[in-house]
Amino acid sequence: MIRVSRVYHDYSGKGQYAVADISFTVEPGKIFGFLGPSGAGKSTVQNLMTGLLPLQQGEIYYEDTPVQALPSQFFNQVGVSFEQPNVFPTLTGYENLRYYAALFALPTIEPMRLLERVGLRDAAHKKAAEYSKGMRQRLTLARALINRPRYLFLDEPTSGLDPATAAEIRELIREQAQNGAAIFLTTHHMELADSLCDTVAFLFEGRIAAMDTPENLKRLYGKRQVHVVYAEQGEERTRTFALEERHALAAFLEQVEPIKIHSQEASLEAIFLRVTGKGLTL
Amino acid sequence: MNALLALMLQDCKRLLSNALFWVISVTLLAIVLLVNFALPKSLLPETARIVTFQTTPKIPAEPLQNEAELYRLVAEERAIGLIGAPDGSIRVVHSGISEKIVRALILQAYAQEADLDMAVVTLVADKGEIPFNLRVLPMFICFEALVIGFILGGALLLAEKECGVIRALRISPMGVDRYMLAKTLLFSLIGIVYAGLMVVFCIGLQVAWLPFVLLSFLGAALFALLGLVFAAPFRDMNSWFFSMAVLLSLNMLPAAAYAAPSFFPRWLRFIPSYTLISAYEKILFDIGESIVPAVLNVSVWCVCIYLIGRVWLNKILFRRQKVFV
Repeated sequence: MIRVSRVYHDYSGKGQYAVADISFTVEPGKIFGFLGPSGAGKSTVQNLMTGLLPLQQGEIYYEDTPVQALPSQFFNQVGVSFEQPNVFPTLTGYENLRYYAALFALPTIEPMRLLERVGLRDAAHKKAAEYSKGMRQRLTLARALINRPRYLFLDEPTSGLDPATAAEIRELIREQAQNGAAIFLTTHHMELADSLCDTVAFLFEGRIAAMDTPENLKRLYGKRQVHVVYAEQGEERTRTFALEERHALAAFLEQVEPIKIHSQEASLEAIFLRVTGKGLTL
Repeated sequence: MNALLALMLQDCKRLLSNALFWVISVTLLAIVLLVNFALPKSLLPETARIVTFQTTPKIPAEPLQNEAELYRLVAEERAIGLIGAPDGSIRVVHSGISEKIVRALILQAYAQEADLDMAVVTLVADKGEIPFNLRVLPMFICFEALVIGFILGGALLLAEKECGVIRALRISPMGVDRYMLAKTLLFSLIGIVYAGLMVVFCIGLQVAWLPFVLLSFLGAALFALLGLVFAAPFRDMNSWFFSMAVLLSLNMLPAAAYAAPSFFPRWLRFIPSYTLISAYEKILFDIGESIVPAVLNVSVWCVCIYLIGRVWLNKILFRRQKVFV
């Protein structure tokens, strides 16, 4: 388990916090989604959790060990996929994974197997410099998984991927959670978070604005709606009611001949907008 | 150990696609050709350092108070010593300069007494004259084969920074020790191979290989470590290259003392290449002192730079909050 407690970080040193009062836990076998627009502080929190940034204030614990005291060997259990794909451009995809696999003291996954899972088998022996951004992104993800990490950090893992590959990557991430990994996922793609995460936190202007399971967030903040499709003068028309307007809905159904009726849940994006007052594409 | 070898292998593959590596390799070939075909076998030296005891020549010289000091300077600093005897005869003490040059010097120093009684003492008398083109070989080994790690170690490190891989390495179990060792060992091996190729193609196989390999290993390791330490704070190759070239030039200053023995400030001894050049002279031509002090000297340098580099790289490259983990 990773426990983050009352974490603050100030790049300027003048009390202008990039992130403030951040607290949450990431449980083994669960996916924790950290959602927010660009510049909200998602990467700062990930960098603090992985030790890339020194912790200024607050606590981050891996089980019982504070992040500041993690020995090098601890990183045998950590996998990180960065938003900006950072691989050796002069090595092939296969060589990149071989290089990284050599760093671990534990048995690692065979690079070709991973490349196949992320759809790079055919490009395994091409230099990474020749890869597209999406391919490098997948290679970075494969690198993060090579040591079967117990703690997995994923920063925008499906950014720039086509829908089919994104679905395959989602499945791969789900498998890691099923295998017991504690996964911290930062993204501004609400669909990804909705489909994968057990818990999500909305990060806005450096602070957590809301945090719960996606279902609870929808229930707490989302407006569920009912769409009625009916026929009028030979044409199909639609009318939408809030779920709370059930008397109006019942009265309307008596007046028209409904063709179909369906309910619709609020999306996480709409909830984010409602909670923060701003959209995700800031 | 396997992990270290795997890292070295992958670094080696990266090296093969590095333009600087091929520039240095082509330079090696150019040096071999230069030594064998372009440089003359003999060359009159520039101003030599002349030290005297109980004689006053007509050329600039340093008078000494005792004979032992004169012998020490000749042995250690390749000065030319002139010793006057009560009967008016002159004894010349030197360490490997050709007889022809010594005699020319004497004639210049005692022009009005050209017929004076003269004895020549060569401290390496049985080694004969060493051709000029081969005498420059220790310098070329130091400034080409050994510094490969200084240049390419820094270049690999900065390439890792530029492509962002260093961030991934920071959160890996690699640690600064394996990072430094993998690169240092790789460049030490390349340094041995390059230095060996120079010797084989310029001198042949009749060399004391064990001390040669040992010295080359330590020398290349030292320069690789220095290269990593020096490159670590730079953001990219553009900002690093100029200052790296300046530092390399400083490292080459002992070449000036080698070519012009009169130029020998004390601080020159603190530049590691000075010690290395002298030790290579001993190994290749059997001139000068034992190589043991040089090996110890370079070993101490290596240990010191390693320890400093470990803390330095941990702090500014790996940014680990704990250093001794």
